Amino acid sequence: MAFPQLTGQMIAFMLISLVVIGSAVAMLFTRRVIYMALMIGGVFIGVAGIYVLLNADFIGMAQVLIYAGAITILMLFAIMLTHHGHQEQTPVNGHTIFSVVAAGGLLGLLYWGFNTVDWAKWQSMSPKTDAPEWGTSSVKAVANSIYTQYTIPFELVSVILIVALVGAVILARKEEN
Amino acid sequence: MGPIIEQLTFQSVWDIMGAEVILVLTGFALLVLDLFLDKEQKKLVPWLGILSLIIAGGLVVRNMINIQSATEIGQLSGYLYVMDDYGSIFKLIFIVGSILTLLISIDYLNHVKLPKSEYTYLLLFATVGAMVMASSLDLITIFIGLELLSIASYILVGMRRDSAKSAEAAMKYLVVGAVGTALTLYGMSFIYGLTGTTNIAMAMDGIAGVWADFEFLVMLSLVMMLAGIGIKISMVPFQMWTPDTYEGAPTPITAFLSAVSKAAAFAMLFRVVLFLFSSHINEWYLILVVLAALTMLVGNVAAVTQKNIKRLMAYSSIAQAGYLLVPIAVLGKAQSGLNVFQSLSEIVFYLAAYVLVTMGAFAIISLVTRDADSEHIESFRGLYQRSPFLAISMSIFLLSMAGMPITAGFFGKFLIILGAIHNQSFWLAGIMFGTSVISFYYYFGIMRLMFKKETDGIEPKLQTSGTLSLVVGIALIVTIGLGVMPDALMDVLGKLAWFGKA
Repeated sequence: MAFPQLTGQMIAFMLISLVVIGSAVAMLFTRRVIYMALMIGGVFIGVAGIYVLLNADFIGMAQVLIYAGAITILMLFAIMLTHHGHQEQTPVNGHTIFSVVAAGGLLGLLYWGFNTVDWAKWQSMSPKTDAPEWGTSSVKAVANSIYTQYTIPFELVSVILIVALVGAVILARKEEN
Repeated sequence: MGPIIEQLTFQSVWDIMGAEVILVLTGFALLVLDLFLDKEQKKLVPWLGILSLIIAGGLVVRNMINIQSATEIGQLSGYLYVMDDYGSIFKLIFIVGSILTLLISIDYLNHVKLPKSEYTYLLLFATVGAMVMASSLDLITIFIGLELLSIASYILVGMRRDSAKSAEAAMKYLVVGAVGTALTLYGMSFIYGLTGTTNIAMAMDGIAGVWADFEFLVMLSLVMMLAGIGIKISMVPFQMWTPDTYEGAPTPITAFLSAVSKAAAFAMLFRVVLFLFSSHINEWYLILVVLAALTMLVGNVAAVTQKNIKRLMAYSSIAQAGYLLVPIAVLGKAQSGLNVFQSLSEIVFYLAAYVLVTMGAFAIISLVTRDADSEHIESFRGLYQRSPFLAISMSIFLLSMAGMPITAGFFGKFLIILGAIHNQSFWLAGIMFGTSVISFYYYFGIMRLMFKKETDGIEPKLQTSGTLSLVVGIALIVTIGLGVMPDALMDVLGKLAWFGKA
């Protein structure tokens, strides 16, 4: 595996990845829900950084506004308004060991697999241009796709939202007697 | 800016996705209507749902008739959404399944306190999700259809607020389903990365071109998607959630999951996985062969020891998923493109028989378990004395699932095994035959109980409600009808322009 060139972008990517992976792992190991919610906020912000690095500014901003902002705060409120006991440490048993081995195996397989891929060829297949066909504004590009080619899925998403909203109300409302 | 996308017009949308439009509009109408109805009037809501489904079914049939005379298939947004007979025939299966689910639900909702309107329109939206999965030729749209179906079914499973099992079922389904969604999406992302398009037909050519250079990525994408869809069809080793979820869900919803939701996932499996990776199928079909064999074995063997009828049906439905994987797995050795259509006919025939039989069986299960207030298979003891009609119908449904001659299930299995032998997959045909023999054991177990004499005196006769009798009657007619005259459906399937005229 060729060592990656240390450009500014590469360093930024590595730092952001550290934040994302670190927050995700920390989230799994904390025992208090409130810390988990904070940690997942870290993951969301980190992912937003990756979007920005990939020149998808609009998605990056949307990620910060919706996920890092709204959803994390919503989760924090939900946690604060409900009662939570302290979670006990789960004991290590056969199931835990099996999961660790399986997840580790998958990680190893993916690491090996991604190393066998000829990424130089990938680059040559879709070269990075300074003037992409959709112009420099990613907002325009997103809007164009949503309102021309992807109108049908866009409309269907609104049905999903209604279903999710109704579901949340049904599952959360008090039993009527 | 890529290919020019012609604008959507009301007319074109109505022509191609009229059925979906009707169901979505009815769903929203019921949502608003719910505010103005009092308790008695709400009983009408499921009937309105059935009415809209019948209209939608009519529109699908209209599409199927139209396409017979058309020169090319209908499409929207640059083949993002297509109207071909492949999608239409699956849509018909979903619609019939949903109508029967609602009929069972009408009886169920009279006895179990659930919000009737919400229940109805969530079921309609779930059906729309299934229909989108069958008709879309675009990864993003298919994914949204999958999510619509999944989210609606999570809620429907967890609707019984008074039952801890229902909550557990919904939670398990949600967590496992979310993992499946993530896997599917991850797999799809590689397709987009490799081909630069989300359109399945275009990506198919792209994948064939990059296979040699990026085999690992393509295979990874294939395995991820298989795992994600495998969770939906409860394929081994992703079947763990099935028994718990089927047990905890309201009985009509169990029927819906095991029939419509599964059929939708098969529609997606065939369209997405088989199409995208068809160019090198002989390199990966062994994955499917192994999974199909495992699914048949695990489902049937685990079912033998089950004492809860809904868990038993869950394992039986895992086994059925295994049978349905066989026609896809044998395509690895297919000699010509015609075999694809043969496999498709087998799947559709089997699914049609399976959906009807499942609905009939669950209608009876819903009644018997409610009457006995227990889901133990012992509640079927002496059913023959209490209601000969139900006992005989249930026996026929069970025999059809097992694959006894003169039922639809027999011809379904017979066609699949024949197709497997035709494609030189003798092992798979053998395993399917062997596991079917195991299945006779547990299906006969229930039948034996039903025809046994009641030990403690005379039980009162079992009253069936009109809607349940209707479901059982329809299922019975189709099961025996297709068993005696399978050609009736096979002729129709033979005339279909599956993916447009060749």
